[in-house]
Amino acid sequence: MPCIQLQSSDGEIFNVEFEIAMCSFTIKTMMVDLDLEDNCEEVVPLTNVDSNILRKILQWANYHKDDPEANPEDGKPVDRRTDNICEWDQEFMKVDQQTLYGLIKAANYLDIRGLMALTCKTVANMMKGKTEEQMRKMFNIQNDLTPEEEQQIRQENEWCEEVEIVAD
Amino acid sequence: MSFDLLPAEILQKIFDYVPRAEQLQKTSISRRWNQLALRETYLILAYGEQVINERILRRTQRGYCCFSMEFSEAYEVLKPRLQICAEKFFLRKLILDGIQSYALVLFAQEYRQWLRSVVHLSVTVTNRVDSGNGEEHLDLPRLRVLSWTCNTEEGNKVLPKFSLNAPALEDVYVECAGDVEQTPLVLEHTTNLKSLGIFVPKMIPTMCPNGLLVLDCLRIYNAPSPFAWNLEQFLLPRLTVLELCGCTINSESLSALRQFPHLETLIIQTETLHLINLHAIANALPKLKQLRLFDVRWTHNPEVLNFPSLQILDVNDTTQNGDGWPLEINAPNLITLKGTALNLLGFELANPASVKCMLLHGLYLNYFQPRLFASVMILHIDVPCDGRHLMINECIHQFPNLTRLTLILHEKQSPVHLSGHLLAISFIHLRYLHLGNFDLDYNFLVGMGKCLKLRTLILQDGTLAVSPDDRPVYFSDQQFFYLQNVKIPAEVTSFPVFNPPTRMILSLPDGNVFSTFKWDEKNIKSAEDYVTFLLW
Repeated sequence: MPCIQLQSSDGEIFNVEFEIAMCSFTIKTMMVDLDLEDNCEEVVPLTNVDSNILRKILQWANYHKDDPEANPEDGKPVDRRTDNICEWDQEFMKVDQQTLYGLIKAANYLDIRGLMALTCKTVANMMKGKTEEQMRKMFNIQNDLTPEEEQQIRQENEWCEEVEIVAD
Repeated sequence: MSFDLLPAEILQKIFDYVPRAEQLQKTSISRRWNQLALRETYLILAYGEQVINERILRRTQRGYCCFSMEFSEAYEVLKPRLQICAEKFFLRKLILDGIQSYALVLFAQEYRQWLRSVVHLSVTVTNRVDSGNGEEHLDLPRLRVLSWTCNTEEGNKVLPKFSLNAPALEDVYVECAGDVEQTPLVLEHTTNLKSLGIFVPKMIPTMCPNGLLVLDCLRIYNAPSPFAWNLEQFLLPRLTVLELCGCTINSESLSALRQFPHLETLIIQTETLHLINLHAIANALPKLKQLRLFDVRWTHNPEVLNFPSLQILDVNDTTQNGDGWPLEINAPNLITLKGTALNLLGFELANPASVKCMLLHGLYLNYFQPRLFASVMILHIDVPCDGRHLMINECIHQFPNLTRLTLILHEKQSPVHLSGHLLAISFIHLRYLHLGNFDLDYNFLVGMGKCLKLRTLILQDGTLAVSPDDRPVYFSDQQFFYLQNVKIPAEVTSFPVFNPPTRMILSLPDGNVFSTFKWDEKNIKSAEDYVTFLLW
């Protein structure tokens, strides 16, 4: 099985099956652009992903290696459902917030569509039904709105209408 | 580490998965969250006599791109708000509801540049104030979806004509309430239209001067002559879906169907007095895959009806005229039969073994010639009943190989029971059972325990008579057991079903929800989504 070497930001090198590494469009593009497809010796540096996160990502990619390939042109979620996360993924996402944060950023950087959707859905599920205060506490967000801005938001929201996408 | 530090593009992706109803609430978490683009949120600039305060528009930090205006006030009153929007925001979607035609002309002239980026445009134009029969030209290079409604009932029948240079347009809906004397819309350079809904089809050739060579779906509404254009000169070679809603259908319009030989879906919904001859449809449309009839009166010729490609037959509230009953239909590829059971009984299938799915309103019961549908795997029956004439057992036993069964009762006046043992014996392949409004008891659950292949059991409404002394029933391989709004005796505190892997959700009439999922508050709140997933 042809392999590729990925180097995390903290210097650890992972020997990864080509097929698994290709779930990342970033790596895929890098391989093509740098003409590394036939060169297993070359180390691909991933400067934005540390070894803990990369290990998790490879675990996810290994499990999902036979999933149908996501459409690279597809920039937005096809469906907005968040209750269709498979059991394995639910278990996989039982991580602390720091890891979750790292996974989201890495999935975005590596352009792994399936993992990006999974992490976003997980965070969206955490947000559902929460008040603003609960949200700030949960995600460590500072309320930097002035009373005037809060007043403006309240007034503004009264003029907002939620419309579902019909066709776009 | 704060989620607030995530790049905006990632926050936006997360935000896209938050239910729309909650998105607005989340905007007041922080300044950054408030600035996230609310992609599909329309900012209402005017609604009835209420008009948005200009100060709100000036001070907002959000990047709105969708706007709606309902014109009760004169255009001149709303113009300052439009001016702020045009200066401050990129335009993607716009709804102009009830705009006077003269105002629409002014708007088009004054905001020509702003309109260039619009992707969705919905206009309802009225003509109470005479605007003359001028002509206005607009460049809308990104426009993909257009809805244009003209209302001339109260005013001048002559509307100004808008010529749109909209090469990317794919989906158009044009409605005319009242007579119009000239085509109000000309789609210049539009060559890629895929879907068109129209009330006055005679306008089509002038409205679409480049033809409709790639049109896939045509919907015609309330037209006395649905094909009132020269079909031989103005071709629709790729048309696969045709819907005729409220149109007059006569022999002339039926023969016009021959002009669309590639049609795959035909939907006719009309209470016309004319009889629709199904043989005329079958002969004209050999590639038809879906035939949906609503409220129509139909007839047929004496011979067998041949639909070689038909996959879905959907017949609802129709009336059959003709001597032969039932009508023999040869449709070797028919997979789904759908609609009013009494109507479907009017067809005798030459190849019943092809049918896999039946979705019925009412009971499919033929007392004179009982049939067995051994090939049907999915059966959904939605039946009004008063308890006296319910023949549900007789009906469902025509389908011995079901894997998925849904029975929903309406207008029940007295209890309706169902034997779980009988279901277990009769449907040995059943994997999914959904019962609505039945009156069940402990023995039903015992019977369900014997349905060895059953994976999903859903009970909605109705009653379940169990007692605290009942011995627990072991559900061997069930994965989902969902009860919604089923009345259970108050003294029952533990439910007589066990098997740890079974995911059980009990949503009781008192509003309490119990689940074996160990769900916390956030998951219980999304239970409705989960239930929708289970039910469909």
